[in-house]
Amino acid sequence: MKIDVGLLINGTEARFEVEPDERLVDTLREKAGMTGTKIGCGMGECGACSVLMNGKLVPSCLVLTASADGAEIVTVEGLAADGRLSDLQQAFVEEGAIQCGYCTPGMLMAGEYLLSRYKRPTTDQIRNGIAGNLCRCTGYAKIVSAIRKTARKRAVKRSGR
Amino acid sequence: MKIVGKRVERIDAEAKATGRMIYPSDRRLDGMLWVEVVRSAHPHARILSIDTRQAEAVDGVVRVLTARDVPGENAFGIQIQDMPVLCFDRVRYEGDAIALIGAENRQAAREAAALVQVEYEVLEPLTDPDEAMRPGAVALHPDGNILHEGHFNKGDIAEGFARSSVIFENTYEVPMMDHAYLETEAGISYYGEDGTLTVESCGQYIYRDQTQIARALGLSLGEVRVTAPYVGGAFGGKDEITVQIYLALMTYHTRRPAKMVATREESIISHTKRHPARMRFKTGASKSGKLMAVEAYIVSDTGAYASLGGPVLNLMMEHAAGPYLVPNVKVDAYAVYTNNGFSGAFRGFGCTQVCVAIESQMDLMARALKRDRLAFRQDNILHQGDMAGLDYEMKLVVGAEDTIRAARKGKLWRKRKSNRKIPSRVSPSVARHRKRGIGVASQMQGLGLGVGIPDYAEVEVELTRDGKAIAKASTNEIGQGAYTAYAQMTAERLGIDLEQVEIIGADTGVTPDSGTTTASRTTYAVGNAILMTVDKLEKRLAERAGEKTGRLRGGVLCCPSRQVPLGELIDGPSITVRATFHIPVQDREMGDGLPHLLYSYGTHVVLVEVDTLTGEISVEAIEAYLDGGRVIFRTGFEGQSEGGIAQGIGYALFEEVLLNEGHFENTNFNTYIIPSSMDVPVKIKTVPVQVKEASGPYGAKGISETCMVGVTPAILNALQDAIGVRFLRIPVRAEDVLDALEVDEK
Amino acid sequence: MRIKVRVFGNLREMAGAAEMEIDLPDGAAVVDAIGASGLEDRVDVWVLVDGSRAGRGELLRDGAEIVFFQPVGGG
Repeated sequence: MKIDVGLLINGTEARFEVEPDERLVDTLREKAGMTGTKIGCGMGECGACSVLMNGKLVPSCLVLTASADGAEIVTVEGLAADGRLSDLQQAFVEEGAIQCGYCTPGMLMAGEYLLSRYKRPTTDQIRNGIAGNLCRCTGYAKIVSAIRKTARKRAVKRSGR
Repeated sequence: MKIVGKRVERIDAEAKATGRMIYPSDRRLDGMLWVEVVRSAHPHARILSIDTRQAEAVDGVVRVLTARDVPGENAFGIQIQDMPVLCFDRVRYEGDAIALIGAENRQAAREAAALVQVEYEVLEPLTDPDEAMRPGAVALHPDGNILHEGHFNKGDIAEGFARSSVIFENTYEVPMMDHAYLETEAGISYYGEDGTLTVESCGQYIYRDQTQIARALGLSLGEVRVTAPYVGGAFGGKDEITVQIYLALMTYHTRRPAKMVATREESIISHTKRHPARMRFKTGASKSGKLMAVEAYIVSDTGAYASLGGPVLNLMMEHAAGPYLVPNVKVDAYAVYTNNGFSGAFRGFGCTQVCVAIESQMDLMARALKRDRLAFRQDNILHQGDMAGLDYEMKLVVGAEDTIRAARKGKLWRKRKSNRKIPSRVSPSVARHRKRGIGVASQMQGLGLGVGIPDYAEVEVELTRDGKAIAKASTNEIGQGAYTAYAQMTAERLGIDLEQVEIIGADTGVTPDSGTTTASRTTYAVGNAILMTVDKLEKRLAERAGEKTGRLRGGVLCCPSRQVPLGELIDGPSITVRATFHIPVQDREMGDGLPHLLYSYGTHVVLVEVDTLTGEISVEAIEAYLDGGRVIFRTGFEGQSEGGIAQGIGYALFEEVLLNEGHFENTNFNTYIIPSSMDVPVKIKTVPVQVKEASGPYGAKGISETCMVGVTPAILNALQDAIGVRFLRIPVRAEDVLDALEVDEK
Repeated sequence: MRIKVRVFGNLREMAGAAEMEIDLPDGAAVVDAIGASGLEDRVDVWVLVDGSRAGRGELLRDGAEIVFFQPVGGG
């Protein structure tokens, strides 16, 4: 029994016919053709599937698409604009926060969510903000640096200096 | 150096940051079948019958395959092909594959998998390697349950202990550990336009995968193509075959593309693990602080199938005496088959396990002798020209002492007295229950495959008329930064910008055989091969220019008398040359991969804090002093160290694959705990101790395993420093701390 | 042509030796050297000729050095 669902993905409207038990991550990856969002565990523990849904960080492997009708979704594919990396993506690149890269999309979403809530996050707040995103390659150090660097840049921009 | 040694941007960073990078699990093709594997419900059983009719009847199922559908050899395994592709008469671990489902969608495949009826005669699982070794134990394989054993004797061990004034004997237990890469085993397969059966997957040696697939399908090598350039983490867990043969089989039988992505549960159950081991170490040192004797008795649980259990045991033996000069060494080691999953390659490859033991023993002896723990190690450290534990010469430069000297100068060790104090910002009522300690560990790690098997890297470099270079190697970019390091070395050598270099990796149809992406070897092996190839290019171009010699610099051939633009020397768009570099080996062959010639070295210093009320352990700070020769990719080097630290913390404090009578108990991240951002220290310092290796490209070696191995014993040593408890078993959990403190109180 | 042959690992049992010299007619290829060395031509018998991986059809020259081994290494 298929359900008709409308989503706003990275600013673009899209409609899908989904089974009641279809996961948002699968809709994104298989139907919307956006494989940037990854699956690491399937039970909301690793954060690789993190997306922003109506401004909140959610594990898309635990969201049923059928329950997300009308939602605004932001995925990693929506971060860069006009072919240019976002400041956070650029910071990840510059700081060396990417190794195998599989956790990176989820980390970026977690980073964006953190930065939307904290204008001047402390190191502990940053670590807490990505505590739901597992990484096996980097040991997190450079990811924290990249988020901190971005927070500073955004604060400087805001203050107009 | 313009590019080598610098903090360049990874060449794959942008694709990964934008989500555009396509990993094996992302690949899809129209008309592809989803593959699910029917796996054994029991760790040990006879298969009496397999009935696939119900499964075949599920709507959407296209094909169900069993053992009789394996056209070639129904067996695989890197060293010994003792693992069935699809089991038909016996299963030996809970993940053993019995049937494959190919369906139009994953749901149907899963439904069908659950409907395959397997009749088992459940057998008693062998879960204790000591039991499995006994004569009369049920044989899991035709030649019995001892996969491999090694016995080594140097000097006179009794005499060594007689001359020791301090002797310690302990049995260390290290657990089964999962690689827990974020991307599980995955891939697709299809018939290419040229009719080649193509598998795009994640294996760490595509040429060996090609052979294993061809052997199982009864095909020639030319009929199989394997690719695996960008992979979401590996750490040795994707060295052995995982999904590749299943995919190839499904495509072979249906002529359709096929895709498989392991679930996390399936991944934890079915792929190789770090060998759990019990290691009885007895070590002695003289009153003057000289090591006299190291005696080790090691039983490694290799699980159901061989994989790389033999070589891992060999490295356990090789590294049992640590990076130290020890006159009397006796090692007896066994790799034993059980029904506990199956184990294989994992970062450190045996060294990780024995380092826990020997570095713990070093601390015990140092304390008993009232010697500074760094000084005790330094007084016994190996130098170039010395004979290592297993009595072979350390022929190349040995930076072990350099890492110790550097560690001594670091803030953690220098200020260890004050570092032990709980910071004043912590309220006294809390501080009262907290204890801090500093621990160190030193180690060496053999790089490359060691003696006994050709260890080479063939590379191809294509140079275009306008001076751009394309370097091709079959190794994978598994996150370690290999492709960026290759690009840096290529650019440096040719005198061009990094942006003018392209790396094409891991395709048996395109890239020559560069060997395994394991054993910390590829910067060294592929790097040297690239340099050799450029040497060859220069020679060829110089000949064309009618000159004796020429050096490529920025798109121009610089000869003694003139500069020749490449456009004059290259007909057509480019010139392509290949060269093969062979990793030098020891002249003594003591076993598969035993011993090594090339080593990297490291010393770790760790500060831990223990909450004696809750038992919680926090790693507060860590310094890593790592000698991998010259550093090529500086950011990558640090990244490897930081990641290695996290894995070392996991091994010490969190990770253990739990098996109950051969049944896997913790198969996802809610119960198999790997370190999160909250579990690694904020204060991490990685110091490259660059003792240049003359035979290395720009003096480089490798560091990807060393950066993890020393971390775990350094933590154990810090724990003894903090609360006076010597933990002999890892992971050390809060309850272990509380139990130990309770005992202490009594 | 005189070809120098080295054999690694388990293949030594099959070949009966770790090192040997074999004589092959001019125009012989790698595949001929396999049989002449007493080895079975299997997909997992790999060949290096003068240090580099070679296919079965690669022609040999006098004095070439061949290595036979199986891809059993890992790290």
